[in-house]
Amino acid sequence: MSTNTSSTPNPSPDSCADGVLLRVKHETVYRYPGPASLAYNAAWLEPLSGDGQMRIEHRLKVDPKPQFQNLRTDAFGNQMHYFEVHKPHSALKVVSEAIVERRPRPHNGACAAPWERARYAAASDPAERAALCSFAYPDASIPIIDEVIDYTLVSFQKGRALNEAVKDFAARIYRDFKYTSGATQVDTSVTEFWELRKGVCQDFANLAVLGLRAIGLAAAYVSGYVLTHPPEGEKKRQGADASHAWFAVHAPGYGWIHVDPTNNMWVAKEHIIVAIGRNYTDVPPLKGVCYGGGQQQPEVAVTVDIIKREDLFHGHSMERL
Amino acid sequence: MSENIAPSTQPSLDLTGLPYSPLATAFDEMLGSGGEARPHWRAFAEYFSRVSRDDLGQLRRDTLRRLKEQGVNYHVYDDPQGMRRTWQLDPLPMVMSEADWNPIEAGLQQRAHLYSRVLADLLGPQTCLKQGVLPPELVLQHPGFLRSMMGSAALPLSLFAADLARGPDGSWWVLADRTQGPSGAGYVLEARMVTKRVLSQNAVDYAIAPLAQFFYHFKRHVAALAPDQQKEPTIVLLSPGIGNEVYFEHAYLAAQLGITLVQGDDLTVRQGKVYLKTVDDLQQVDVIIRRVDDAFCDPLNFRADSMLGVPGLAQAQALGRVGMANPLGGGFLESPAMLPFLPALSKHFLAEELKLPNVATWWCGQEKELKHVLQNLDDLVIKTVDRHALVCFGPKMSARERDALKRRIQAEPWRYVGQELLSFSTTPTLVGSEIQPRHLVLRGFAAGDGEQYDVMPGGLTRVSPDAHTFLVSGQSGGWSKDTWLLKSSGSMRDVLRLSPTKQRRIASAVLTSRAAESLFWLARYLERTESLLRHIRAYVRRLENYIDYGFDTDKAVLEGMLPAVEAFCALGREGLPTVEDLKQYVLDSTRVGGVAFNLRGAINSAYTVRDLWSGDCWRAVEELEELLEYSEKNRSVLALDQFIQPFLTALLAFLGASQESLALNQGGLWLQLGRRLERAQNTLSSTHKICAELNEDNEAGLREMLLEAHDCLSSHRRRYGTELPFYTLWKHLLLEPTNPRSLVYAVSELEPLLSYLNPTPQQGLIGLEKNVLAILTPLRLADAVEWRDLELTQTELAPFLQNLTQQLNQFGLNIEHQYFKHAQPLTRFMR
Repeated sequence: MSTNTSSTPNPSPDSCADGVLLRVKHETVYRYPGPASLAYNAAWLEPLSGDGQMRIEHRLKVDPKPQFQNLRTDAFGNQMHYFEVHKPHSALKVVSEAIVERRPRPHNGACAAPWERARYAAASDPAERAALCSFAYPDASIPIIDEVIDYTLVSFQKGRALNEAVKDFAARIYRDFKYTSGATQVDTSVTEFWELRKGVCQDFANLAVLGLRAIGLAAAYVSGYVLTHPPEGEKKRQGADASHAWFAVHAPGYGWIHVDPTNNMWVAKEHIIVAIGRNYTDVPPLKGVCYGGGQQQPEVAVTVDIIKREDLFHGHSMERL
Repeated sequence: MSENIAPSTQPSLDLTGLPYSPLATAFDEMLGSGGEARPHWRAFAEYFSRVSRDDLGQLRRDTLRRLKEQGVNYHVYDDPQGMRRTWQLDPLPMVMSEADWNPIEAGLQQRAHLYSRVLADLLGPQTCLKQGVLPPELVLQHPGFLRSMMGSAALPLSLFAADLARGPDGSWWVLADRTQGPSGAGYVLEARMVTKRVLSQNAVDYAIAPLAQFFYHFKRHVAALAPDQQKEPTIVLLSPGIGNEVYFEHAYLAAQLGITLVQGDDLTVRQGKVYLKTVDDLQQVDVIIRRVDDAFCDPLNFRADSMLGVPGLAQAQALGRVGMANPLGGGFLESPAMLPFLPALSKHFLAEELKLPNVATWWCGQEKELKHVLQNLDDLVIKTVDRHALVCFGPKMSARERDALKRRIQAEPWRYVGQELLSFSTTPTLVGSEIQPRHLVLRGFAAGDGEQYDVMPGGLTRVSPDAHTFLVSGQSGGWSKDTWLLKSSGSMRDVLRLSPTKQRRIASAVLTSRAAESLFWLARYLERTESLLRHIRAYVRRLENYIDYGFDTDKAVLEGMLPAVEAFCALGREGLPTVEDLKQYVLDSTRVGGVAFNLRGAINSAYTVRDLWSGDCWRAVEELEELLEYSEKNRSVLALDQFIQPFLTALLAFLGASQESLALNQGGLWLQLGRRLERAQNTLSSTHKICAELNEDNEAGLREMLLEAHDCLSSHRRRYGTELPFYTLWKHLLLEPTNPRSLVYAVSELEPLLSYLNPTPQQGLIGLEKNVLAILTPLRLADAVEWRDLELTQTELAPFLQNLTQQLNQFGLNIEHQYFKHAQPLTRFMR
């Protein structure tokens, strides 16, 4: 099926029974062309607990030190940090450090049921519909929607097991689109990506989400990280030096099945889930408004590595990064 | 007219002369199906029977005149008349009986209560979604549902409104609910003042339920939202500004309620609290009455492209550190798709039946309803769930439009509703000088705390522009009316006796930094224009002399004068400007620094502080604007001097009125500072320019012209006779403390004004006072004898003036820097 045989998805995440400790340091620096007087920011940088992941530690450092900080849970259950900087400053540096334990949940029978049963329209419980509704509808104004439906249905043949179909869908996106750093911007539309046939992890995830919703499934955009140095003998993952993104599809009776189409793999021991939303703008790692300043591309550095359990209990585990 | 209107005791009315015939198809408010006047309309029916067409024409003119005097505007987008279009008020009110009104009042109270509960639930536990009372698509797929407000402290809808219409069977139906920041309540107040006054002259007088009580309750409910209930709350009204269609109402309400009118950049968020930028410091805001749509209120959390909001405002509300009326996040409740679910929601939250029925509405997000709408497209109104999008009238669609609409509905059914086309009732309306039936929609208002609501007696009635349409909005050319609720028992005195005795005090309105800046520049623009007009007038007189007699000395004088004129605004031409050139200079509003340009700037500044002006002041602003428009229209037929004098008169009238009506601590200070500073600068600049031009050929004439341009020629003559030596010229124009137009006079008037800005006078002078002293002292010590001839003028006076000019400019910059808190441009990023 896939021509990239070296990166065929691992058979299923259910082979990952042991927990793995992952540590991330994510540094973002905005250097403004001019001085900024006041800055207001929101950050989705704190990894969530759930979906086979446990947040053990998280720390957010902002320089200059904010005059006000506040943490709340957003509409999707993610942790959102809000902070204000009142002093004049010419650069804003945000460092997020976290340790999570990954213990991926094995797929159950629900994941292998015919995909049609996972369709939103099949959900009859109002509470479940309320929980999934936000993720169920594609943006119908997207001009290529019909092409995307046809493209998606190639993987979703009638009666096919959901996880199998999803695996195939991810593999086809991986094969048909080229990961090219810098080919697209934060605000590049799915349509542009569809025509360009190249882009970054965000574009891969957007396309998958659109296709899945268009055939009636509930699908989410997921922001997170992937291991910087992969296991011995495997090639370096795409998106490893920056914040990463993928998609999740909802299986009733299981929950979100996370899939990384950019690397053509299940989200398992090598990923850290930060936040789940409808799209990128629900969960950008960092967004802000400041007075003065001026537009500037940020410098971003991400390191993700595996740590041993002993390191954790010796304390200061994050300082050693 | 009698206050007692009990129908049974009244003899039947002879209506044979009544010049009014209702439509056959609709319920008429005044006349029953048999043509008889309903009891509560009898007084009007009688009045209509005896009034002449001339009287009706007079009634219309009286109404228009009163509205113009008040400067009541309604901004119609894309209207060439722009901001200045007078609000269309019909002087004939809609009259309601208590029997009609009582169920509406109870229904509005229930709806306001219900919507408050629904909002708190949807931004919180969402029980109505989880229990299947409301389909989740209706909320979660609504483009206006602001997820970032979820989990925030529940706030009530402080002000709620609903649009109602009466169907052919006589019962009232709700067409739409308004939960964001319903507009119209201020217009009702204005409509009442005008309508009562013009009609009382015509002996139509009823006992009408008064409005004051409602605004008292509104203010009380809003004040109760303040997080800290111990201190007097500071309340502001947040408006999108002068571009908004109902900006007049924002300014009017702010003035009526005695609160501060603000725009987004007047506010700033710190530690999740909201502060107002005043000329003194940051002052904490306790409650915001919000008239900016919620999605535009916070560029960090909602629409990043909004220029109307305040970054962090969503956090401030979510943290409960500011009261918000109405709360952010409540906009989507206005979705017409909510209507069919209200009966079930009412049972779910209140365990009550819904009291006021909705006009039949089918939400296409449901299969059966979708089918119904698609099959009956021709007989329905089709609306999108977000109100800023589309409205289609089925009967008016072409086949192609219908097919296109069908496809759109099928692609995203949850975005559409179909609504029954109700035939609205009609009410007598003054059209030209006739009384004709027009369809009406009544907007009712309720103010409350989330549970208990006080309803405005009456409301805003709007009627369609012609008899065959049901569109009543101001944007589509509809007219507004007052609504008179007749009290069958009790006189107005009873109601007034309830009036507020222990209303909680709120902090008085403060002057925002932006308002101070607007006033400062308003005065500068006007003063500059005055000076420019005098310069042009002096120039034109001399020019006409030159044209008539051709003396070379006149030409030399004109050339010497030119730099002083051009200091205001570059002419951009070679040689002497002609009268026609100067006309351009006066009337071309695209010419930077010209008269029309300055006046437009002044008028714009006046609009942004609309809430501060008294009626007389505002009339003066409008006269100035009317004069400007009139002159622009008639530029080809009017002579230049026909422009100059009226402009001078109008702007002096405004300066005078504004100075009289604005107390120093309410903004008058900034007006006067601007005016004095500008006058001093103009005198300095023009004198300095002319000093440089003086030579043997032109000096005598130019000196005279300089005095004339500063309105000092006659006062100089009275004092010194007809001779005009250098010595008396400089003394009179620059150094004479008793000449109100002298430089030293203008500068010395700054001194007492600045002392108001000194918070601790016992500790010495503030920087600005020192600036002025440094300018004033050399002026007071100077001796005009030292500038007694042409040479001394050039060697001694010119550098002296140069130095003063620099100091005065710096003083102006210091004021701006210190008191006007310029917002820097916003940078947004997402990564």
